[in-house]
Amino acid sequence: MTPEQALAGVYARSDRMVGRRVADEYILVPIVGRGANLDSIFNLSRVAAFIWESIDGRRDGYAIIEAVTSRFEVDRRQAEDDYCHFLEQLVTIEAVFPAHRPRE
Amino acid sequence: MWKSKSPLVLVHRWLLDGEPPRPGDSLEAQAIVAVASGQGVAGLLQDAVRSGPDWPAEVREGLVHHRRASLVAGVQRLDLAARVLNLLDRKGLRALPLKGAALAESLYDSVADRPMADVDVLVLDDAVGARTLLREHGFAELGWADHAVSFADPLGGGVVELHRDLTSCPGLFPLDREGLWARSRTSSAQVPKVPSPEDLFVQLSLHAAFQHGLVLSLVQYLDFRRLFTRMQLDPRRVAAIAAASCAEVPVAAALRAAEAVVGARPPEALAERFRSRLPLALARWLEGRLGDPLSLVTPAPPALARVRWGLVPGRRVELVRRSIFVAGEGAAEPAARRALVAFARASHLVRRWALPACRSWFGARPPSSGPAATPEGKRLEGPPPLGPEARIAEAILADCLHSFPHVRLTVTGECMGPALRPGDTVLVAEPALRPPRFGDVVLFRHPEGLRLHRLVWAPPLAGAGSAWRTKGDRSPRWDPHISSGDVLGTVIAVEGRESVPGFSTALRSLAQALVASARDRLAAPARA
Repeated sequence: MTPEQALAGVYARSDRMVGRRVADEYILVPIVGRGANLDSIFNLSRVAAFIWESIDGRRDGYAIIEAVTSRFEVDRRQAEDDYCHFLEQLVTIEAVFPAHRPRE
Repeated sequence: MWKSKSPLVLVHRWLLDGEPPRPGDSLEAQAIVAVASGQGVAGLLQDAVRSGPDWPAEVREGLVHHRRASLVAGVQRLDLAARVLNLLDRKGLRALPLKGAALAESLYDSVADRPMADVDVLVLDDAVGARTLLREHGFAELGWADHAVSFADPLGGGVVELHRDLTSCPGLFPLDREGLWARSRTSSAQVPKVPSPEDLFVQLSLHAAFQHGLVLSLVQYLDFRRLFTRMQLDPRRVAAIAAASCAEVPVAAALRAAEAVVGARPPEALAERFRSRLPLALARWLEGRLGDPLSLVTPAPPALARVRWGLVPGRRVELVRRSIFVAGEGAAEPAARRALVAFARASHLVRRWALPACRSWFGARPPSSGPAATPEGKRLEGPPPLGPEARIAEAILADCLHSFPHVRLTVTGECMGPALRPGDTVLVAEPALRPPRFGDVVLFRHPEGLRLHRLVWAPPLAGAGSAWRTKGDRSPRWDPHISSGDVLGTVIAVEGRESVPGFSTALRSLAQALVASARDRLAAPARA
């Protein structure tokens, strides 16, 4: 996935992964598969948790970056790089999927 | 002083006085952790001993791992509850989470601190429609009791129990469905709605007293204490809800037990309202146990029939009637079928409850369990037959297995390690629901009491009518022969584990027993 595709794409969260804030941390827990496999849970930073919650099947990457930069003190270029990297990871673990085609 | 106490006593003392146990060595620390885990308080223990110098680093690390696993399992369970509730809601069926799923988020700082083996959902509308809906969405029906049906989650493999009533004998404690729904609160956490604190309290009391005969795990008793300290209960509303559901005696009994076991002190106005509601006979029986609060904590056997009898003064005929005649879910059942079910339940009650109780109360000698067989098949005099108390405990357990989709038991010995460790909680289903097969771990009648061992000679290897063989995984020899009728239940899952090793372990175990048997035969002439 190129950075342009990641930013232009609209993604939705998979029902098979649930995000949960616990005290001062945010974890992603897979629902599929029996038992509690600790190797398959993910700890998210505050920014990553914000991005995860912003992936709603309606907003594209540009809109999410906009929200990130207005919420956190982060350089836009840095936010884009982090977003693309994080999205790629989420796609790899099938935590998100494309909601519809990226805009042309 | 600490070292002379059992791990359960140490864990209990910690919950009462707030002072974490101070283990003498790593082994004792591990034993305490195993008990805390079995009692559902390992997460709280991890918090309490986070920086305790008396705790070995490796045990503290294990506790951290355990809490993490419990957190993940809790999130998964709550997600299951949320999915089921949303599914029902989309179909226009009102439902609310019960017990652990309702408590974990409102009374505990983390879902890791309130473990739950399954999730319970109370359906307020069409129970038959809800059951059908879950089936249509791929949930596999595991079993049913008179007040609930359990399903396996097609996604995560968790278990959800769909309740049409709070307790067995549906209708004995009338459920104000409209009021329950009207009083429920919106939740900002994973489950969308939870019952009001007052409803939660009455539900917990009914569950503790009627379903469990006042014998609960420590975390279940802690629910009461947390409810009193973390929620504002309106005593008048509690009294009204309890009166409407005929639950005043169960509430009074649960209040008394929770205070004795974990020091759960209700607001004075609430205690005052229920203080005089305990019938004299039940109060006397309860007082006799409060001197040893651990007699009200699992794995102590509950006096379920005795407690149920005491909970419904003036309505005992109704208790018996509702125990025998199971109300249908709405669809009219043929009279003949209802009569057959009623006859089966009545004979079951007589066999399982009345006869052992009569033997116990009138001091009659129980029938001998018969001679035990040696591994070589010789008949020898077995150990003394089980006493009346053990027989009643067995009868109660058998009745629970018959009445519920599964029963949770805590493993106490080490003979099944590493597959089952002390403190592990296993889910056991009766043979009718899950027929035992070669390799299964089963709960069976042993000359010295009930055992959880592995079947190493059973169908499909053993032919019809032939004797079965069981064996502890770590034991070199097998147990005396048993018949299929000696098996009370089959282990269907171990909490917190993906699976229990079965077939290959059983093959190894069988080979080990055969070698040991051959050695014994060879050694016998030499000794002679």
